Amino acid sequence: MGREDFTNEEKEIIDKIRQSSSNYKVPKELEAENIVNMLNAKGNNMEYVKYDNNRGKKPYKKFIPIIALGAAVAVAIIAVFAIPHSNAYQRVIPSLGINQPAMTLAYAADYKEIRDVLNAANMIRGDKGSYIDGGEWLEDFAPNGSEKVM
Amino acid sequence: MQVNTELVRRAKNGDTQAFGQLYELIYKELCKYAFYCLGNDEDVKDVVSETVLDAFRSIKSLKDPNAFGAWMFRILSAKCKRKLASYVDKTLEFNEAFDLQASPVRQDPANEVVNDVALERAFKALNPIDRQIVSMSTFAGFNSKEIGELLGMNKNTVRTRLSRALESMRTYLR
Repeated sequence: MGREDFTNEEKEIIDKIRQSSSNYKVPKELEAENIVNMLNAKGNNMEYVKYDNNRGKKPYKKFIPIIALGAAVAVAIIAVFAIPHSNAYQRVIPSLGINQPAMTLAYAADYKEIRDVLNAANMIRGDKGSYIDGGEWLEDFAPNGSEKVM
Repeated sequence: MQVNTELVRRAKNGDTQAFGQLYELIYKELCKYAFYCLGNDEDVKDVVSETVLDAFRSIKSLKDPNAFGAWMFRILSAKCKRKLASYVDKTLEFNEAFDLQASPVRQDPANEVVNDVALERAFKALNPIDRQIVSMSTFAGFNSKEIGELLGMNKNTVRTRLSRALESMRTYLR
């Protein structure tokens, strides 16, 4: 190993670090005797020791990926099922093969009269988007006094 | 460092006792270096154990017996570098490790690693790479060129960072 030229100020700091480290107590497991025992036990079978990467870390850190995954799933569920006019609702639901008119009908639970009329007339079967896109058409079926759908 | 070539020859033939004697010559410096890089004893145990196992398996590739110490430090510094990269929050890890309440090392009064609190704070204020550079220079005795080769950096960059780190520590201690 070659030598490095240090200024006096640098030497002073390096000496301080060396001095302060002189009290460092080497972990017992790393004493030469224990290392020889470890080599006798593991050194010859040419297998790496498995180390737990989470050792020494705070316990909650192990759960961060699980919590993050749970939060992502929760957000996805909210996006798909709780926001009827969102892109997720309009596109993901049909792409999953779920009958969108049936879902929009569920959304229209507040318009009970309309839902009853539609159910009775069986007008929505297989007619994708008829509720959302065909607001005016549906309005014709709404009983007097009900709110305008779209 | 002068090393008994007979010990190296025996270690190359799989003699664990001989390897243990070689290890005994440098293990304190190895552990100090790892501790100052990583900041906690658990990781020190991991990296030093891995270093010993790797070194013992590959000691046949060691050509110059007198380079045993430098060779061990090279293996260890690569492992420390990898360990530092694996930390999710390096600053947090190190700060926690040096925390007066949290550090297991600190709980034992006989094991006062850094007895100068100001120096301790100055050291932990360095970023992980600078800590590694200062540790390599202080404990392993590597020069800037050798540190640069190990860390994949230009030797001038290493020298500049080393100077700045030491200067920053000096300023901190004023």
